[in-house]
Amino acid sequence: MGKVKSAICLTLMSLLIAGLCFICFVSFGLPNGIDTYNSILQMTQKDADLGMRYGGADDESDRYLGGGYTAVYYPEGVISAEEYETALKGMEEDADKQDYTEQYAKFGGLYFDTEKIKSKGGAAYEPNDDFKAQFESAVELFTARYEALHLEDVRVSVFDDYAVRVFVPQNDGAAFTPLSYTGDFTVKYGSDASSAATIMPARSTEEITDYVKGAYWRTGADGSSFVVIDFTKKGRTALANASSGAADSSATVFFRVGDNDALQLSVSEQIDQDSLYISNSSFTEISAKSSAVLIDTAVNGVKTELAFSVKDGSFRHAQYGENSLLWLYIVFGVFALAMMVFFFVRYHLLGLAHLYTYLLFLCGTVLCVWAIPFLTLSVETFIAFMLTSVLLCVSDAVTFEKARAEYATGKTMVSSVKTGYSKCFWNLFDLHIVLALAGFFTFFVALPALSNFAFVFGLTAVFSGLGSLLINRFNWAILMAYTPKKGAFCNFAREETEDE
Amino acid sequence: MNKFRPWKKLPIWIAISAVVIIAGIILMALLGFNTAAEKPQNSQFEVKYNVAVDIDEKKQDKLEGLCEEVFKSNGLTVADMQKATSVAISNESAQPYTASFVFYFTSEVSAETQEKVQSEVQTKIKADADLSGEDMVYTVWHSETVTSAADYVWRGAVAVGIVVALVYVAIRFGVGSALTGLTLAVHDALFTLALLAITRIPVYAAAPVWFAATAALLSLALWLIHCMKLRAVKKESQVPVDAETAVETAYAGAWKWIAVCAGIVAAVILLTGALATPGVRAAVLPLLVAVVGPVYSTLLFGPALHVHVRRAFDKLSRKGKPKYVGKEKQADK
Repeated sequence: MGKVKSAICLTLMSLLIAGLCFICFVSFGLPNGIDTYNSILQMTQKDADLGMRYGGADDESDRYLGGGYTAVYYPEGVISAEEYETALKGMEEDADKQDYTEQYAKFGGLYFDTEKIKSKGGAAYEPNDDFKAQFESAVELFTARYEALHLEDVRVSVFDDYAVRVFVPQNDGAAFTPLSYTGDFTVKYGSDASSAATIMPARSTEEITDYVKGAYWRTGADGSSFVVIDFTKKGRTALANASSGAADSSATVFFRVGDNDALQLSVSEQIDQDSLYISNSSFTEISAKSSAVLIDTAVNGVKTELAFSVKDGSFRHAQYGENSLLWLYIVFGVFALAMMVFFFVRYHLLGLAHLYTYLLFLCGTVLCVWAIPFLTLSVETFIAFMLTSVLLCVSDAVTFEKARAEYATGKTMVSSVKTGYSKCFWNLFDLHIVLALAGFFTFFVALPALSNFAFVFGLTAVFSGLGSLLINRFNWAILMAYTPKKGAFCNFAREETEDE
Repeated sequence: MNKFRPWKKLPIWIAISAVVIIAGIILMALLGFNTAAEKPQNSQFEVKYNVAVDIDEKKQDKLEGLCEEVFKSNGLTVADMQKATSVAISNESAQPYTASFVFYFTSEVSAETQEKVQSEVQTKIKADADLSGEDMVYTVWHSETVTSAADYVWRGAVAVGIVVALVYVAIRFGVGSALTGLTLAVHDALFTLALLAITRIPVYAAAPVWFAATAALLSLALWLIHCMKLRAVKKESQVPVDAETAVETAYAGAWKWIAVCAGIVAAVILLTGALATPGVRAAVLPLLVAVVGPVYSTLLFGPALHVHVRRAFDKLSRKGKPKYVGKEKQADK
């Protein structure tokens, strides 16, 4: 490559890398002292295990990416110690206080309304066996519901013996309320909820499964989410009969769990199909997921007679600790430093070619994790990135070593690079293709958190392949155009042969 | 000096793998994995306060230090501490306290100790002029038993990914190499799970599947180095070489690369584990187990197995082909 062409390419490449590094990694306060320019990395969604504030010194608590929400499901008639004590403190009359203390009995870490939940008997209060059995079923139901959401880092736990606590990642707090509904699943049809006729009831002679097979969610190509409800033949006929007059007077189908609406569907024509696809403009992925899971578990899941209220919502910062992300950045910094020391010591200025390649690889990865909606910055994605970073470093080192070996035999630098690359090209190509295939196909089948790990692994394996086989060679060519001592530039030496 | 020839010791490697995997499966069935990192059963001491009205950052630090002092004097070790901010869910009325510290204890805390700690913390708060306002701080003990954590990745996913990758290996390097690679990937996933079950290293609930996936991917990458060297041997040799010679020659060129690559991966894991916060350390450091399996299999078990696989494929490929019967016999005809 000629010197002029090289200079243009090198300038453009340097500007591109500088620009990418700036938007990806640099955050600073703006001169008005209020607003902050946040880097792409700062604005990348973190998973529940990691987290970091964004913005400037005037940070508000809601300017935080990562972490998640917890909420506690209390059975009807059960309250927390805090709620009990707060209510008691708020009472002025002694008689009210006495009534309240008589009404509630402490068991474990909670207070039980003794009128609603009868004691098992004995001197001290203990909830009866029926309540305990129903609570066990409820725990099983909530566990199944949250597992079916397939969210990363979700946790369900028994809290203070007779409440259920749930943790979900930051963007998924909308699931708490719908997933607290318990009771039978029914379908009603009419102009309003109070006067609507039940068309698919759980009668004593029939089960709701005679009408409805189940429900699931799907996301369309345009990103819209919808709930799909599968009916049996009998269910399809019941809905078709009920909605036969919908063309004349529009009505609503109410899909209910217990006394709560799980979904509503406005109808203006007869519905006669095996599967009903329901969506609306306010549907998000998590609301579609939670509605589908609620209906499916109400139809096919464990039954409980207990009703629950959702309380004590709280936002939790990074589950692995407040500074966990910062320390991962430090780990990366140490790795990058060690990598560059190796490349600059062993290959002198040729290390710059690797540095340019690596920076492009790094910025490309950051931009993708930020831009692809289902990806988050997590320990899993970090490890996947680090593994492919090793892959890129080893690949670049292999190409350099192959060229070094060729140069030692007395070939020119251009010929050495060409022959060196041709000797290892297909090996590196195969290695990257195999790893990318393994990563992407695992992603297609897996669910979080494995899918995120696999996707980032597959994607960065592709970046590593492109970086090593194309960009690195290009960088090498444009960097070497200026130096007359090409061997010294790359720290390559000729093999010494003794004269006979 | 006797040269170490791992490709000649297949029965030994099979015995080692079988012992580890069978022992691991038994322990997995009986005890499962040690998911202590998930804190499956814990006690929590929650200190609630109103950050908007009463407690500024300086007082928060004071409150945190005060609690830690009491835990220390009662012989309690805090496993983790999290900060929480209250949020309203749906139609829930506003909570009286807007923020809290939650201290986690994984060892059992008796009811007496809980009462003593709570009482001591409250006494110290009352004695502190900054914190002793009416209802400024509320403390409460909780117990938690985790019933489910994020452990529902479909395990078949890794297998699908590996099999697809090995189809490519079969096309590029031969079916024999792909078969050995498949065996090694399955072996390494099982070997890693078995090592986790045997060593009882505390991990998060989702970690075993993640580790098995990493082991299978690493196994694939390291085995590819062997495949490349085997291909090079085939290209460079003028006459067909027998299976053992091919594996031996390829091994001589591959083992250093395998050791270097595995060493760098292990160094990255160690670096992350050494510098990261305890939560990340508990997630990442056990990943070293996922490096052990692939290194063992690609350096020892794999070459030994591949000699037999390749021999079988060589035999198959010779079937039906005309055999060399010697010059004299040909002349007789």
